[in-house]
Amino acid sequence: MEFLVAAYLIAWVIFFGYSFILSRKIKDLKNDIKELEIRIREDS
Amino acid sequence: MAKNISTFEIFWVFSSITLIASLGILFIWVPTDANLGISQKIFYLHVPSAILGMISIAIVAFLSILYLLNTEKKKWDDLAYSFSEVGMVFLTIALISGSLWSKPAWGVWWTWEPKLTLTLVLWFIYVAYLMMRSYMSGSGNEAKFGSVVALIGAIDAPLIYYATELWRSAHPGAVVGPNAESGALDERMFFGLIASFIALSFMFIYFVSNRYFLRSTETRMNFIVRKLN
Repeated sequence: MEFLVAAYLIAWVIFFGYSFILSRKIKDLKNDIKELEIRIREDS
Repeated sequence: MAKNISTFEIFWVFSSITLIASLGILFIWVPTDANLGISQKIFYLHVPSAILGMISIAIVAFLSILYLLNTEKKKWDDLAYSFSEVGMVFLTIALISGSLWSKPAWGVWWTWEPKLTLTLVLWFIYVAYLMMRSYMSGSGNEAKFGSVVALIGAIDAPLIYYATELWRSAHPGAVVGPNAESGALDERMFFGLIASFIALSFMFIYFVSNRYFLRSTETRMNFIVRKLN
């Protein structure tokens, strides 16, 4: 039983961990886009 | 104010519903194996993850060929990169769940038998692909070198599938696909496997679409920044 629980638990941790990393990267990218917009506006 | 529902959210909802349904099917309806006991249910996580990990490298190789035929189409390379990263995540789960199933079934965490060894080789190919792309980033050649690594990985995938036929192996034979033995699985167990495969496939598509959005946006951003500088 403990092996079954461990397998599913580790899989879920990996899935949620990867999902969290992706969402954080998307958030960072959105911030970069905002900065770029400001830079373009200032340049023009 | 009404909020637009994105493709990501649709895939997320689909993967959540199918995952909950498949877990219900697996732990309530699908029978427990008489010989291996409850630990056999790791099979429903292990097999779909391994299949998705193997299919993924074949897709990466195919997209890499498309990119090499027309290097102007950066989207093929972005898609290949996205599939490789998600493929590695699923293959990691296949290796860990396989090891956790191997202990109660065979008495060891790991054995250097052909199928397991070739799967570990594929995992290292994924690592090599992603590390090479990362270290060579900006050189202009990372996609071309990455394509070569992906093609080597694509040769490894069918070898993994046919390993039990090609070599003497402790690993059970294929239960799905062209090499599957007929009647290898109980009807309800087979249905459980399909349900789990569908659920994990939705999650796989959800991750790939997210990763592709991120990668393609990064590519466009880098292009704009280069133009501005």
